[in-house]
Amino acid sequence: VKVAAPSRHGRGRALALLATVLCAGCAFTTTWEVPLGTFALPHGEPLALRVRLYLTDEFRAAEWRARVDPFAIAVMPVGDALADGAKQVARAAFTPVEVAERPPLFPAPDVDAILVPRVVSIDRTNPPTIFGEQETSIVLEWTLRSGTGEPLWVGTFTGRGKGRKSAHPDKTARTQMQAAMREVFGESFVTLSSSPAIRRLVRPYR
Amino acid sequence: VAVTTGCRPLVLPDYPSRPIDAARFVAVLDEIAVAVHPITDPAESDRYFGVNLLQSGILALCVTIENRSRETIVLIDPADIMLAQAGTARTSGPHGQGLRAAGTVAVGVGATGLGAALLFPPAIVAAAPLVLVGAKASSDAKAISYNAELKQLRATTLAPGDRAQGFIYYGLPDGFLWRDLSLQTTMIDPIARRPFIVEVPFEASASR
Repeated sequence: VKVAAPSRHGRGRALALLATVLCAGCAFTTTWEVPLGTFALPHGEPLALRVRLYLTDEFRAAEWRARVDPFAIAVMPVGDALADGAKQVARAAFTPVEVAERPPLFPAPDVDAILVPRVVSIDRTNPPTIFGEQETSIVLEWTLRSGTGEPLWVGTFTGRGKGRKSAHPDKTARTQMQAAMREVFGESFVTLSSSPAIRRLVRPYR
Repeated sequence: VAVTTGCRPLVLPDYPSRPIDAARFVAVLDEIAVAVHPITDPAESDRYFGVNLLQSGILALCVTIENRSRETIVLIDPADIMLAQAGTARTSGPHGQGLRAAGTVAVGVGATGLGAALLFPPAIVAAAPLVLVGAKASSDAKAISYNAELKQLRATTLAPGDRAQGFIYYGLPDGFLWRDLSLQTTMIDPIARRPFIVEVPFEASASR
C-alpha cells in the first residue's frame, strides 16, 4: 500500500495545529477584577411601585472570558458589579424595592411587579495592535412581570465603552467595562422610570 | 505585508433607519406594521457586516416594527420571530416548523501567521508580518461577529408611536427553497393579554 507523503502545506498545517493544541494546554488564566461603583443616575422621585428585583444566579455569575494572547485567557467577573448596578437602578426607579435571589413564586400578591435583569451579551472587539480603538459592550434585557406572572414590559439596552487597546489590557478592559456599565444602567433607569407602560401601573397608588 | 494588510481594526457602519412606508415587504395588522428587508446583495452585506453573509449560509433580515395604534403596547421577543418557507410553513402555535433565528454569526478565519509564530518562537521577528496578518484576520473575524451581535433586533416594548429595528439571522439549511418566504412575528399585547402574529410574505434569492 502506497501512502502519499504529506505535502509541505499539509505538514505546516499539522505543525500549526500541534503548536496550537500545546499552547492551549499551557494557557494560564488571569482575572481582571471590576470594582463596584456608584452610577450617577438622574435624580427624581421613584415611582410608587412595590417591586421585587430578582437577581438570578446566572446574572450574578456573569463574566467576560476570552483568550487575550496565545498563552493567556482573561476573565473579567462582572456579576457582582452588575448585581450592584441593578439594585441601584431599581431603587432609584421604584419604591419600595425588595431584592430576591430565589426564583419568584406566582402569584405574588405582596408585590406589584417582579423585575428581572438578564445579560444578553458581554463582548469586546480585539484590534490587531495596541494602537487600535477597542470597544466593550454589555447588552442587558429587563423584564417586568405582574404579580401573577404576566409580562408587562420588556426592554433591552446596550452600553459601550471605547478606548485605545494599549499595552495595559487589564486597565483598559476595566475602564471600558465601567463605561459600558454606566451607559447601560443610565439608559435602563431613564426608560424604566419613564415608560408609559410602567407608569400606567403606578396610577392607582397616586 | 503589514502595510498592505493594514493594521487598522475593521469598523462597520450602523445600518440606516429604514422608513416602513418605503419598504417593499410590509404587513399591517391591528395598526402594528412590520417590514422586512432581506440582505441578499453582496455589496450591502459586505458594507454593513464585513462579509457576504449568504456565502456563509446566513440570511440576515432587517426587521422594522412600528406601533401605529393609540393604546396598544406591544412586547416583542425576537426568539418568537420565525422564517417560514414553502413546505415548512408554521401550522399551529407560535413554535411551529419555521426556521428559528440563530443567536450569533460566526465567521472562520485562517491563522497562518499566528501558527507560524507559535511554531518558531525564536524566529518571531522574521514571522512578525505573518503574525500581523494572523492578528488582523482574527481581529476582523471578531469585529464581524461583534457587529452582528449589536445589530440584532432585541426584546422591546413598543408604546404608541414607537418603532424598533434590528436584524435577525437565520442559518440556511442545505436545499433551502427560495420561494414562498414569510416572516412570522409573534407579539404580545399585554393589555388584552393575548399573543398575535403578523405575517410578512417576502421575496429573496441567493445571489451568492
